[in-house]
Amino acid sequence: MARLAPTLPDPAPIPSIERLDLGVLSIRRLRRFGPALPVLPLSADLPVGRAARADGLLLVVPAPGEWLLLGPHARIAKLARTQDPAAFLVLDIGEACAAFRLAPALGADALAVYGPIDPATCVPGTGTRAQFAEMTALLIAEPDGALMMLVDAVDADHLLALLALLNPNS
Amino acid sequence: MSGYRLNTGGLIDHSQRVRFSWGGQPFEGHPGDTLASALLANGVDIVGRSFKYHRPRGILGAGLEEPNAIVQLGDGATTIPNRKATEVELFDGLSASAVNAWPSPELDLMAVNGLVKRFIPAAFYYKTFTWPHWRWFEPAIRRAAGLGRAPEVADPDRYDQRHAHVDLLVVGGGLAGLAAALAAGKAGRQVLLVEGDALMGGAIFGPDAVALRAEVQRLAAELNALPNVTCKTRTLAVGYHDHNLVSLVERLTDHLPEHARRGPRQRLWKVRAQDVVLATGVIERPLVFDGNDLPGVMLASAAGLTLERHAVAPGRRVVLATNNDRAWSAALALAEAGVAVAAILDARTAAEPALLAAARAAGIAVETGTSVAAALGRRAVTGVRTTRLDAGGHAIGEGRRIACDCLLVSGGWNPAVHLHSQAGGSLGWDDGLQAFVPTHQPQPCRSVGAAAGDLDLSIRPLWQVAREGAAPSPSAWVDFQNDVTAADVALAHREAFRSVEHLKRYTTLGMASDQGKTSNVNGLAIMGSLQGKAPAEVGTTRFRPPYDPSTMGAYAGHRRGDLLKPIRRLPAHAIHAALGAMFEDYGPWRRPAFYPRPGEREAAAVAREARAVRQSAGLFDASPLGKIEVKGPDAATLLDRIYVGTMFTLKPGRCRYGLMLNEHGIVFDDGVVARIAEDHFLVGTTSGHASAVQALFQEWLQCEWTDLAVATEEVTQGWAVMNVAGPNARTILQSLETDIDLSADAFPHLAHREGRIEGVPCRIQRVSFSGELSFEVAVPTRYGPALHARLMAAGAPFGITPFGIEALMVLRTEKGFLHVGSDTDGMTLPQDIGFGGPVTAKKTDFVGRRSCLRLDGQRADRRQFVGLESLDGRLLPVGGHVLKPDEAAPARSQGWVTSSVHSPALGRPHALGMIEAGRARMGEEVQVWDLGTGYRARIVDPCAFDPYGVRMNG
Repeated sequence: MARLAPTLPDPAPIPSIERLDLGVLSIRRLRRFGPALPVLPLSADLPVGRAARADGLLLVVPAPGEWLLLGPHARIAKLARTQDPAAFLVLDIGEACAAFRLAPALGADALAVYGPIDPATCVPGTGTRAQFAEMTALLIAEPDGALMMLVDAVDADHLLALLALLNPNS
Repeated sequence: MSGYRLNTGGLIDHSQRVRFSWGGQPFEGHPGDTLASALLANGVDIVGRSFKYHRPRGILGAGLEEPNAIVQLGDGATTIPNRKATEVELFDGLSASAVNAWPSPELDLMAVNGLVKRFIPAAFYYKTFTWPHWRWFEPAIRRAAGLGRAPEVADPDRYDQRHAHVDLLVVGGGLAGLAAALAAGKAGRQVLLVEGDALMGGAIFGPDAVALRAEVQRLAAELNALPNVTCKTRTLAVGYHDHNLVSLVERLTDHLPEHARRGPRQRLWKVRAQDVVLATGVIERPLVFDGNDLPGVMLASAAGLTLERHAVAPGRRVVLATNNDRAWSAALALAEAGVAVAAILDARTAAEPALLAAARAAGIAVETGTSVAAALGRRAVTGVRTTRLDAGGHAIGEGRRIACDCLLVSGGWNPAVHLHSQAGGSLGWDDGLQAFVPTHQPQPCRSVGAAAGDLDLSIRPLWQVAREGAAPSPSAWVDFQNDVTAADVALAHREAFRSVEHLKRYTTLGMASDQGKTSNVNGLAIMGSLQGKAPAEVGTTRFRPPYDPSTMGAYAGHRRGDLLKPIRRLPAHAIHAALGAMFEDYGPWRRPAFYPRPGEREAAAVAREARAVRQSAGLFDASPLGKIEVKGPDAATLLDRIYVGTMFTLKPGRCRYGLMLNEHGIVFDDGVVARIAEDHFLVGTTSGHASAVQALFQEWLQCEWTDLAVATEEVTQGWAVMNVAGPNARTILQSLETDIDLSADAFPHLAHREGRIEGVPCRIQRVSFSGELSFEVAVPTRYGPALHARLMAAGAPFGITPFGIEALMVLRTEKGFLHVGSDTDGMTLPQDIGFGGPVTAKKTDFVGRRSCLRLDGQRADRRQFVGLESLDGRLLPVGGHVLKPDEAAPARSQGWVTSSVHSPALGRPHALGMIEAGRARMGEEVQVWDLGTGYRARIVDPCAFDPYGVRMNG
């Protein structure tokens, strides 16, 4: 039982943006060019730059030998324990990240205001890292046109302030 | 004709009136006017004053080539200086005024400069204001220099930025650009076509104008029907960068009355294009002759465009002086519109029969082999004096005088090669055009149409109308905006500034806000003629962005105020604020600098905090310290290759200080490395440098050491770190519930432990940057604020004191602990800061070692890291240079002070510095010199407090 009370982030104050409380599992292969794949409830054999969703989990392959798995904290923690420590560096980096789901109106086209995002390549099923308004962001395009953004936790306020300028409801 | 406005014609709405003010006086124009055309229509001939001599100047051009009509738009917060009147679309309520003129352009008191013109030629200030010192003159010169006024309050307008990716970017909406865009659009490519003007079409005037305008409309309609083509007007390409990145500035609301403006004022586009087509057209050159800057002298194309677009005649009685056939159409068009054209003076020995017939039909006298020797008039053109030209193009004999109020000039046509040049393209001289044209282009970019030199032109080169052997005239202007004359070019030649780059900088030719669009080629050709070289041999300067002046707001975009950059706040920021912290930005992090009590000044607060750490306990938020997980069977090998010190011998559960270098051997970063397990390390970096270190790891792993089985991940923000430091640190920490044995025996200095504290996972390291007994306690970020509060509560009986960066700097300086970035710079090698032993002793190689071992790195007189004791009790200034005791500046610096504090523990100042051969000079007295003041100091050991580390290791 934790005796220290956690300080949780405030929900996003913008209607079309949802702040997600997700566990984020970073899996990096120790041998960059090795054949090992993490054992996951969905196929880890995705090409680089692609994302897939299944069974409440979202998997992204941002670079060769790197996987990011997003999902409920408990499931992420459990999946972390099932990976082979001799083959992977496995870390739950959820504490270090802030995840947002942006309504389609705030999709890639709108975000091109702040960063070199090409809406033509930011299509459903993609997940790519981008330098975005002096931040490093992971952009995941959802099938419904929404966009998930993963940024460093300390950059969350900055991101929200920028998105507020774009938000049609603000 | 009403005034200079024709009753019909043009693309303006004659039925509507637009009110505007010029220099506070009310005027009227029509929708579709530019400020320049409206001023011309109202008979305003003087629109500005030149930069140096404050000579009266009129409108010369019709677009972004305009050097004279530089205006200030609006006032207050939204004012914009240095816009060209030819580019400003007229709207109701527009307010504009001339720059560089007081009280008005008609009566400018600074015109007195013109009376002493012969004493202040090009570069006079380089020679004149050197004694006794430039500083004496600088303020007055700076006040007199500059064009326009920057707003003094924050700009209330919004500026937008967008990124775009296209298959083809076409720059220029003339016929060539439209045709290129249409061809690509029909082929299915994603096309973006941009035109800086409000209308597509480019420079259309003359007898074929109606037909050409119809063709433009047809092409534009076809383009608009293609869904894969986007066309933008009022969007100017201003920069061409590497990898086919082109920057565009789109004017969104500048053309609207202020009350009608909605949304951003301007938008900066950053376009990545697979291919670029430059259809930027041509820019006409003026002729160089005496008095060619008088108001009333105008480019022929500008007159043609002003007539075609705005139904404005540039004068009532016009003379055209040209050296080519292309300019004739302006004179013919004016004559057709009912303007009296007194004469066409063509430098060529013969004109085309068709042109001669047309001129004859219009009643225009034509003189070939003739040019204009001088424009006559004091404040505006009242006539011209002609001259015959000999076979070499030199003026011969006295010509006749022709009365006129407008002199149209055309000295040739330069393809607008600026963007091609910015893209890295080279230029070649075209004898047929007498102009530079694009040649090789390394980027996927092609110039087309007139911009590529695709122009039917008959031209006779004529760079200056002057007698053979005559000295270049001081009244023949080459660069109108910067007041550079033919005589100035000759002066540069006499003083051996003959390269085109030297000519530019010595005379400021082409350095004004028009970037020499009308002056460069004339200037370099005159220089060439002085050297007996053809223009092709003289060459030209490279053009740089922006192509046309752009607002700072467009470049800033959203990056203003708090949105300038991400501000990284600590997990416990709110707690620090509640404790009264004064925050400052250190790198990307906003951190407590110190925690003043009511009425307490910074120095007192910092001293109190430092004293508390030495005497009992302090609490420091160390969360920004970089943290990188390094894991894998080759983790130790990776770190051994990266760090100066040996890492593979580090035992699990232990920490070691590490210094890393770049490939040049320069100190790059430092921090504490902890070994968590045989194959698992936690690398500590300096605050704000973790990403750079992670990038360094990845660069080596991905590019060079691909065989290593190791992965790295930055986890800085996953952990909040609280540093408890001071003699009571252990006691305080032990009062918290933890499964980690914190006793001195079980947890020695430089140990790393993992466990739980207050029920949450934690990592604790016993490391110290203060020189005291010190524990860094890391918990998951969300528990950081609670841990800070818990430690403050537990430490209350001991008077635990939160301390900020400034107190930490005092503590580490007393101890002589190096701070990378403060005490080191881009030249510091490890041996300079006492790490020479590991560099030579380490058995295995590491990044930067070879560079450290170069001869330069072995010099005995290299600057070395030492302490400095103040001998007169004063704080030594950081940055102060170290001299010999009896020297005064100017003298050769032996080094400088890098850190300096008032030490509460020592009761005196203590400083650190980098001094030549410093370690061999212990005890030597030196002088620290700063801004005219000398301070006595002695070189001492960097560590001035607890030199054996008893407190830290206890």
